[in-house]
Amino acid sequence: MLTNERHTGFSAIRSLLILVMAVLVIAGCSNMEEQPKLDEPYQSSQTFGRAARELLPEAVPVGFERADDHFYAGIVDGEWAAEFPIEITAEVLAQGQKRYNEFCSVCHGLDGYGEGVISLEGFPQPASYHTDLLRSAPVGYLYAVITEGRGTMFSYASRIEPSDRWAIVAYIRALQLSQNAPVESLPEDAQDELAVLDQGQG
Amino acid sequence: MARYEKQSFTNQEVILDGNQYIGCVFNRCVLVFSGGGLPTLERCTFNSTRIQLDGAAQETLSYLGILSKAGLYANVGGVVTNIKKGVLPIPSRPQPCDPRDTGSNYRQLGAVAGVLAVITLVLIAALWYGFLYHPNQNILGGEIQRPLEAQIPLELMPVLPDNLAAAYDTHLDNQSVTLDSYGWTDEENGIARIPIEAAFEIILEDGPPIWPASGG
Repeated sequence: MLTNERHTGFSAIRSLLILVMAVLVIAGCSNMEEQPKLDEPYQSSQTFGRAARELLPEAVPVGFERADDHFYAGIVDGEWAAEFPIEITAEVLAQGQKRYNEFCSVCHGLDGYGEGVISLEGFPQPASYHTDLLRSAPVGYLYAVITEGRGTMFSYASRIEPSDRWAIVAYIRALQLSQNAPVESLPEDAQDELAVLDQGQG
Repeated sequence: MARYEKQSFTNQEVILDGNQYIGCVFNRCVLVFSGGGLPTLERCTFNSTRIQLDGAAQETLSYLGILSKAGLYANVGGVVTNIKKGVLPIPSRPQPCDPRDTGSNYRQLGAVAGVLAVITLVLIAALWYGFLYHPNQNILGGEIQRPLEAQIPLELMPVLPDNLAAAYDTHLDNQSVTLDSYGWTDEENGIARIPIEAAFEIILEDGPPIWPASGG
C-alpha cells in the first residue's frame, strides 16, 4: 500500500517536473540561433575574442547611404534647395497630408497656424507657416528643419523617411497656398466661390 | 566465493556463505549460514542434514522472534509462509542516494518550488503595484513624492479646459473648417483662403507656389 502511494506520488510529481522542463525548453526556442552574427571574431585578443569592432572611417551602414545632398539634406551647391528633388504628384500630396496630420498637426495645427492641440495644454506655440518669412523660405530649409529640428522641435529624422519629409514639405506649400491665394491667380470656379461668398455677406 | 560441483559432503559442518553448490550431496551435515553473501544451491541432495544460522543471520532470526513476541506474529508468519513458498523477501533497499528511494525528496522539492513560486509572484505583484499603479509614490512609506508637481510652480501650470476632449474636438473642427472652405485672408489686397483640395489642384497644375523673399 505504502509502495503504491509512493509510486503514485512519483508519477504525478515526475509528470509535473517533465511538464515544467518541457515548457522551459520550448520557451528557450527562438530565432536567436539563426540571427545574423559574427561566428568568428575579426581579431583575437589575449583574453577574449572580440566581435564588436570599431567602424572604419567613411563606413556607411547598409541602407544609410546619403550621397544625394539635395534629397537627403535639402542642400544644392551649399545653399538651401529651392526646388523639390521629387515630382509633386497627387499621391505625394496625399502622403504629405497623412504624415503632416500624424506628426506635425499636434503642434502646428491642422491649418498650419501653429495652434495645435498642445497649445490647449500650455505648450508654447510653434511658428505659423502663414508668415512672409516661412512662405519665402526655401523648401530645402523646411526639409532641414524636419530632419534636424529647430528650437523646441526635435529631429524627426528617425521617425519620418526622407521621401515622406519631402511630401510633408510639399503639403506645407499647399497649406500656405490654401491660406494665402492671390485671387487673380485662382481658377474661375474658385473666383466664383469667393464671389458667392461676397454676395452672401452683402 | 568457492564453487563446488557434484561433490559429496558427509558428517561435516559446511559454511555456505557466498559459495556455489551445484549437484552436490550433503549427508548428515550441518549447513551454516552467517549472513555473508547468499549461497547458491542448485540440484543438491540433502540427507539428514540440518541448517544452522550464525552471526548476522542468527541476529535476523532473533529479530523476527522479538517481533513475533511483541505482537507482530501475523507479520512474521507471513514472512515465514512466503519463505516456505519460495517467494523471496523484498529485495534489499536501494542505496540511500537513489532519489527513487526517498519519495519525500520530491515532496520537499515540490514544496520548495511552490514557496519560491509564491515569493516570485508576490515580488512581481509588489513591483507591479509600485511601479505601474503608483509611479510617483513611495510605496515603502514616508513622504509621497510627486516630482512634477514639486518642481513646477503652481502659477506656471497651464489652466486646462474642464473637458479637454471636447475642447480638442472643437479646436480641430474649427481648424478643419479653415482648411476646407473658401474665405478671405486679406480681402483688401485680394488674398483669399481656398480649400486644401483646391490648393492641391493648383499645385498639380502649376507646380508649388513661389513667394518672393521679401514682402507678401
